[in-house]
Amino acid sequence: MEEKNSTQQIDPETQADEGWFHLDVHPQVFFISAGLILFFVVVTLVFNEHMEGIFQQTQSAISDYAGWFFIWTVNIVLVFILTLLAGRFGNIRLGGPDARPEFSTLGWFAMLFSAGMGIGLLFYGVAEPMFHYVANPHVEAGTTESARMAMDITFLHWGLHPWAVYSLVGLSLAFFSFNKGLPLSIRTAFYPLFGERIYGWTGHIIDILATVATLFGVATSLGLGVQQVNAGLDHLLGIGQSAQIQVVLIGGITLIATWSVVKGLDKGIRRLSEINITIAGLLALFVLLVGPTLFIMNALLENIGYYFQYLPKLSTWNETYERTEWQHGWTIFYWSWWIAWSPFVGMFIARVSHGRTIRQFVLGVLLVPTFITFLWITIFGNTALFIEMFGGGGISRVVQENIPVSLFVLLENFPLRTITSTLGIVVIITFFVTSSDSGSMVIDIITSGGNPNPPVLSRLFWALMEGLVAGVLLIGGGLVALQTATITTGLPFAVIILGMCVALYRGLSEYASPQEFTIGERPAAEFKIRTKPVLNKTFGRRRLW
Amino acid sequence: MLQDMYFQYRGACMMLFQQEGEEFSFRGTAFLVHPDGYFLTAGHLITDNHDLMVVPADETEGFTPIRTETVAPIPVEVRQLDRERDLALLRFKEEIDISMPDHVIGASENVPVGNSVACLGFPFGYYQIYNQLIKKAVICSKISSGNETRIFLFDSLVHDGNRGGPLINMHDGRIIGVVGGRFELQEILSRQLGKTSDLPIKTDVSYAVSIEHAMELMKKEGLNVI
Repeated sequence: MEEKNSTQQIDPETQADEGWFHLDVHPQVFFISAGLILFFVVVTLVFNEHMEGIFQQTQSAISDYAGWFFIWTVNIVLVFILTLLAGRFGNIRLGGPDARPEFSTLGWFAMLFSAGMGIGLLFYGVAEPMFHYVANPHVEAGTTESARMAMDITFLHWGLHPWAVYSLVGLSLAFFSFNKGLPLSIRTAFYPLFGERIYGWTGHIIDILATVATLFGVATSLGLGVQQVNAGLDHLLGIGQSAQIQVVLIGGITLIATWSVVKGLDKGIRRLSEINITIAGLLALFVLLVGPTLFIMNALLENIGYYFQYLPKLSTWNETYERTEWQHGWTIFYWSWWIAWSPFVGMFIARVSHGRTIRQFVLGVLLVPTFITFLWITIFGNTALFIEMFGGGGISRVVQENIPVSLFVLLENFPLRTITSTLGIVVIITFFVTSSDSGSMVIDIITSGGNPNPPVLSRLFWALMEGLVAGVLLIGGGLVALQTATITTGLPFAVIILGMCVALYRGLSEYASPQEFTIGERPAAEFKIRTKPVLNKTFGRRRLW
Repeated sequence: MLQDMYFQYRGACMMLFQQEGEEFSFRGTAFLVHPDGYFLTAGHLITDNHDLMVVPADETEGFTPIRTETVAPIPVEVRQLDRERDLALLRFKEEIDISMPDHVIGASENVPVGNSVACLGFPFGYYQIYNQLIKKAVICSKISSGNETRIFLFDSLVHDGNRGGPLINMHDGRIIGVVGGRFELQEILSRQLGKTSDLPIKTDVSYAVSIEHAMELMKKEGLNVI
């Protein structure tokens, strides 16, 4: 079963064959997206303060009025994905029965994780449990019970629900594109809704919106992220915080990301993701060993147990009787954030999951990343809690003031702080690179009309564009405004995600049931047959022999 | 297993006719492989410049009449022809809506000798009996012919009308070859034996050309096969 013999295989060789000057793009999607991005950047630079106000009001209105809807959506999606894991579609292979995975399982996990949420975990793994320990709506702050609750709330926000949303979008795109032959593009997810119209302007508009949203999503987190990296560096080295340093950081990250995207998925992105995960693993291992090892090991089991015991309660809690607004800034914000990012992450997951069965897919995209996330949050969050509860304390204060520094303050409590802090910075930067390069890859695939191995010139263009947009917005202002704008797309996309559940279920049922050849309306003229028995051998001799 | 396979492919497998003036004469079997209206059949069934057409099998369930007087043919045209490998790719002349199963094309390298296969066709079309038949067999051997065409031998005696029909892997229900005819030694050895020879060497073995050669034709036509 050699891979190259299978017709359904995405041929890794074509990545190299395409050459530099081969620019095979979808003209409408590519140029209109580029134009719109330019337009939005200019508008944001001119009307920054105005725009920020508008988008923040929109976002808070969405949280006010549609919070319940987000909670419904993520729970429905989680149940749906779990039924796929257990159900009769588990053996369907993405890419057809002959397809085989393109990447090793470890490389696959590394890429999923690096694109999915790696970077946020570095900052919030320490910070979020601290926030909830100090204040949460469920139990009295600062108590043992609040420590337990703090970990549980963090698990809820980073656990099964976000990965279920990513799984759903990834699975829909992968199934309809690899098994049904539609283009690998966001418009494909709308096929059951719009039918053939996805090939026309309806589809173009969907792809253009996805491109613009993904680019701004990735660029604004890059822009805001380097401010945090700068804060961390300043804390460590005292180099100060300035736009110059941040622009240099953006430049550096963009260059590495561009290199990785141009090298392609296997040689660039996969390798970088693996390096990235290895360094992150080393850092986590170090904290585990020199930190309160026994406390962490105990906590891991208890946290997971607590999470599953209270999952139904916590994931459906809606502040109904409390009438507070705590959830808006936390749970609802997270849900709309994950959903807004799901086209990008889902698309990337779909691209790298060719050849997996649905059961492997759900195990690999829902359960494994969730477990790794829990491990990470437990190692860092519980260490912080340990210091806060039984040690020197002081972390919660730092967290309230300056989230990005929290990781470094935590590391200061342990020996070898220079090495670990350097490792910390390297991990943060490589995580930025990996989310930036996967973002560009996704945009490349969309703007090349669904080609899973997009042309090199277009990869170069989008990777550089991303850094450029981040840099320009950083200097001119407008990062927060555009990021808020990106998150507001979570609401319309939540509606779409629910539609995707129905569409995917229908598609899978049809695919798994016995199918027949049928041909439609045809001219029905009847002719008399006048065949005469041909008994002599009048066939042309075959040249086979 | 065989029932599922028959249910799946009975609509795909059609009779191939050619029009010679007023005559409609039966040529063999052809089968649908692509939703854009493409058929595969054996290359040697196509001779001269006759108008070709296909006729679907009688769609009535249960027992179908043994003889038919009239047909409602659908015109097709030849898109690709590979005489060396004895394959032809045909297409509906008009646009016709087609729905078909996914992944019907199998991977022939995965089929071991001894694997059960089935073939569908209209074996007795030359004798004015237009009923669709399914037969099952096992792969006897995988051979490479004089011009390096990959060929499956299977232990079933196919009749003239079967030619151009699909050879289906019973293990996964996908097409692995195009039935070429009986494995006749006269034909194979004709170069050595000369044309006059009519050796009484009978075999009960037939052959089919492996599907990957047909995939090459489909690629030439720019078809995306999933």
